Amino acid sequence: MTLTLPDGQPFATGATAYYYRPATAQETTPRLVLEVVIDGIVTHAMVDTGGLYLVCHPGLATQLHLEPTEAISGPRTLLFRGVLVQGRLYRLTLTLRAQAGDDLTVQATAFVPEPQEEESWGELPSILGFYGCLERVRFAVDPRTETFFFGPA
Amino acid sequence: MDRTALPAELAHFVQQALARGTYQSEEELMAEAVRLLKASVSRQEAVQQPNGSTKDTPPQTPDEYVQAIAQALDTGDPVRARTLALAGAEHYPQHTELRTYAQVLAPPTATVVPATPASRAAVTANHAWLTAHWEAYRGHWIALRAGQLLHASPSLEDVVAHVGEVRGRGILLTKIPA
Repeated sequence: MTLTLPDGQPFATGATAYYYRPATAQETTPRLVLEVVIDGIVTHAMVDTGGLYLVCHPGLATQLHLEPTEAISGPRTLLFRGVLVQGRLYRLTLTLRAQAGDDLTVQATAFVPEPQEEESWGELPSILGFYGCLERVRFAVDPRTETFFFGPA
Repeated sequence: MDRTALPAELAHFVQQALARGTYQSEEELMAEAVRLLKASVSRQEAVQQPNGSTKDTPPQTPDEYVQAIAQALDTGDPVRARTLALAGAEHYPQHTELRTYAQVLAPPTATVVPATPASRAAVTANHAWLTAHWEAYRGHWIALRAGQLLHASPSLEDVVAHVGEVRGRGILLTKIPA
């Protein structure tokens, strides 16, 4: 890692190449998409610093076999990209995978949509929001090399 | 009224208000100030929550905490939900539901986990494969392990049926936009 703080301590402990592409076929604005692990499943997730929580793709959530008893009781509604989505809040383990340096594991608040939301979910990957997910992660982007640097805050 | 006992800005405001002739006396000005304060209190009472507490009054029982957290979440106030959950669990550590709320809503923690040369290489290989084959698999779910395609299908269920359990096996499962 070459990113350091003024006192010489590392700013980032890991780095990976990101994909810079629209998240769905309907979108034209490119997003930063990273390879991550959500509770043991390797997948892609897009960075959304204006978003809340780790939002898990409903199809992947089915593969996680989560117990509703581990969630905050009762499904809640999240206003998500202008649409009300039903889901539950869990504590899930997110890992940012490194191509250089080390991985970073984050215990995050995760919004897991109810299974019936999958049909209307479309092509969106899982989403790394800031509040509840990335808020304790130092990160930086080098657009020239399309590299995402990360480390613990 | 002894204006020297007032904060400088307030004393200045009183002086200006009297100079403008809006109020005939300091007493009239004070009466108006009291009326405004009373109106403000009435407005606060009007937005009291169903359980009787206001936003500024902490809940008094575990159930009130649970109700207030749920309300904060439902009204799109995650910061307040977290604050209440942590405070509730601290006040009532034996309350199972509040403990769950606090655990789920607590600030995230980040820990460095050593990566292996193999795991770094796998991420690099997946990235290289996707960069090369992206276009060919538009609209498909793919299962990829260390740059090797295991299966591709428009259906996630189909991919999972082919590769089996995906959790903990280092298989990248992702949908390529159409």
